[in-house]
Amino acid sequence: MKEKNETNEKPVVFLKNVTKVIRRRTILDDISFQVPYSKIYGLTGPNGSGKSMLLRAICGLIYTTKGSVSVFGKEVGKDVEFPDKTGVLIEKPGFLTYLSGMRNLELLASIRNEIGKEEIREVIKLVGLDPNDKRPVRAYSTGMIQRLGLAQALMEHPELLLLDEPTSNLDRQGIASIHNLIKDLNSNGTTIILTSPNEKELEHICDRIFWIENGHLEQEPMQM
Amino acid sequence: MGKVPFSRVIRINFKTTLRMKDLILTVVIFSLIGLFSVYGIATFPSSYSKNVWDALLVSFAGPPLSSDSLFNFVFWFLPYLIFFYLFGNIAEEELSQRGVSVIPLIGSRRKWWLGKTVTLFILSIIYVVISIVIILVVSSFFLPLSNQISPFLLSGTLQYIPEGITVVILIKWVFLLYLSTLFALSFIQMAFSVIWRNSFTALILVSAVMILSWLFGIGHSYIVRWLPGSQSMLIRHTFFDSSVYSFSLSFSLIYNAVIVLIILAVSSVYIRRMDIFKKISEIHKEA
Repeated sequence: MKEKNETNEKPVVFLKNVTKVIRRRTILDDISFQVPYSKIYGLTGPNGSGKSMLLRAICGLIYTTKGSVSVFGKEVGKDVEFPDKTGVLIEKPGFLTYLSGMRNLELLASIRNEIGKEEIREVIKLVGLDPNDKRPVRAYSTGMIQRLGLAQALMEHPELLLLDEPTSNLDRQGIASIHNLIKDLNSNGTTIILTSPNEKELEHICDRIFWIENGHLEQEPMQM
Repeated sequence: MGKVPFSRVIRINFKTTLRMKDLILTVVIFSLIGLFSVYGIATFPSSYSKNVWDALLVSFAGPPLSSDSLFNFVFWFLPYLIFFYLFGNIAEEELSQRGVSVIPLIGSRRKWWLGKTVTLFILSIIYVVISIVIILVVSSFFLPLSNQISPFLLSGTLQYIPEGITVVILIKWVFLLYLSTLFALSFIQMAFSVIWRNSFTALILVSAVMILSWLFGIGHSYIVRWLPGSQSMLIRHTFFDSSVYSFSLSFSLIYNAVIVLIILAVSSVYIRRMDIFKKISEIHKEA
């Protein structure tokens, strides 16, 4: 496990007794969890264990039934509806299939109007795609769509990155390049939480790995 | 992070919603409706002179109170169905495909929903204007242009027309009733498609409402004004059919406005606490 200087700052992400019940079934069960600044934390567990749901709760996509989620010191759903400075790749990314990847990201970036075309081109290159590719997204492979989703999560320079199985549908070379990208981002101070059903994959890049099963998070990190 | 201006939300909605094929389909459908209307008028035996306003009334009159003709119903229903198909699912489509990205960028569920609502209203206006213009343009190839209602229409041969009606009054009735009903019904569709996370079921719901309103309204002069969708049937209004009880333009506008306000209130409560998923099946997998 790599060593990093611990900071005394408040945790970037702080979950306190988070429970989510959907249709009388407990999806997240009393989860308390915190992620310090500039760390990479991994979540692993079987399919349907609640990994993605936990990320959804952190980024404000779902409301918790009980407990609280705070990001950068602000309570999600109370102080802010969605946390600031947070990039998210969750579920299979969805784009307008008749437009190119570049055009899709331009449209999404135009909502906040904080970045220009050049920055979008750079981030598309960063994830291994070609910004000059004029093909519509419907012609992209699943792996390319995954990369485009990652580009969308990165494009507004987030300080917290939530990545739900970012390397799914990628080949070995693709997985290695995404791992390198994650490490580079982290070395620049980005805090990252990522999920993977593959525990070994997380061991390569995470500072800590937590096991989640049936919505219950093991409070002790797994041995690495 | 600055707040996203509402005008920008609307502008992006239009960029991601409007496509050329939608415009082409709209033009084709209303050209056909205009041609049918012109054909019906041209072949109607009458010595009175006719003009383009006859085609406008025939196209938007809706089925008469006593008519159980399926053709009359389809002729009235088709423009609505096309609009529901093209635009009634704009919110659910985005929510299920890109909501996870778009709504957090906008920063507020309610702003996103209000943006969709306003976009749907503007689309309704554009659709109604385009449909009126196309019917007038198509009919102008076969019928003379005029700034007055035709003697044929005023003769009451085709349909009872109240005294004193002018072109402006006719356009006012058509525009207001068509627009308010189209928006009210498509807003119901949009809201239920999001609540149910299923645009097809919502399309079926709103279509069923219109079919049932047509059927229950046949010959029932006292209840017709209360049936949703009937408000766009011009000739079921008391102004055109004195046997219908107290069915005025104002009543229809207020009726449609109340529907919109109820749906707005209910949907706003739902949207405020809505969990955002790509597909409802995604959550079922975990639940």
